[in-house]
Amino acid sequence: MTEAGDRPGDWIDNLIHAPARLQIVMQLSVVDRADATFLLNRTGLTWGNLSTHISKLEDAGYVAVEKSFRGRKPRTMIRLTQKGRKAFQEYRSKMQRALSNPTGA
Amino acid sequence: MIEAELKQIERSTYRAVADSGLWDVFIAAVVSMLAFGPLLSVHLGDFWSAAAFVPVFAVILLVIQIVKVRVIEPRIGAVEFSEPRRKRMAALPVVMLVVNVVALVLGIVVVTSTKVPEGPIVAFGLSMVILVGFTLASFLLQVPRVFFYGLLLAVAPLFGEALFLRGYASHHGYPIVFGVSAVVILVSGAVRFIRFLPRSLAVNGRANTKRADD
Repeated sequence: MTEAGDRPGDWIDNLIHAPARLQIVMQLSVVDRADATFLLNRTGLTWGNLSTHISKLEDAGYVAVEKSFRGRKPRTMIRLTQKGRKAFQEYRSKMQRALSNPTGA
Repeated sequence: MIEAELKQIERSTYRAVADSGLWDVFIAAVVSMLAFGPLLSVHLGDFWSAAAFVPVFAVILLVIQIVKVRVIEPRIGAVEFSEPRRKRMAALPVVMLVVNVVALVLGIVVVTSTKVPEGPIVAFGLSMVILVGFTLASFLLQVPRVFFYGLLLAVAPLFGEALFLRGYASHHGYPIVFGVSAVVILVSGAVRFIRFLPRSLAVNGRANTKRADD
């Protein structure tokens, strides 16, 4: 039986690797912060999906949800944390290595 | 590969915000000043014909700000760009100030010089200032169409001067050439704005098509 960690792709950070979350993280990585409407427009997700994925990323400490007021309107901005940026950087490096050398030789 | 993709995402993110057509409307408003200015100066003089545009610009800027807050932002959402992009955008007013100061100094030199240069030389100088200004703006904003607006506006004073010298137009042809240029830019902005509205509405009203993974 294969030990956990020996299986191919075990190094993949599943929190980032899921397509919808990868889209969110990629989008947040190129800006300082953005609100949910902006992420909806850019990722093509729905409110429910976006909210679910943001919650998962927030629980992992990858994103921070900042609530504030602009005038009398509430405003929720989402930002990739340092931990999230580092995790995404690692994910990119590992993915790039894996894709450039799929046999691991 | 991924880095190139991220660069592409950053650029398209920026374009999504910059493509609403509002900047084009603002540029058209500035260009219209060059069209109406010479006509107004006949009745109001140089100073007051320029000063008359201050309240007009205040209203235009107010309308643009209202449209941005009430129409654009609720549709595309709010985003704060990364540090390099912000620095690039912050450099624009400084560069434009330098270009305008250089243009002003050149203008003062022309007015105060004993031998006033001929029309074509003035037109060529104006053309160069416009081209340099718009090229720099296009580079800093990374919006290629601003460069094409610059080309259009750089040709305008030369064409206007040619019309004037042949007796087809008054005021060095500026009301005609800058008026036409302003309309072209305004139409381009209006088309972008009209195309932007249904596209962004469609995104907000979209049905749930993507499954929440895991």
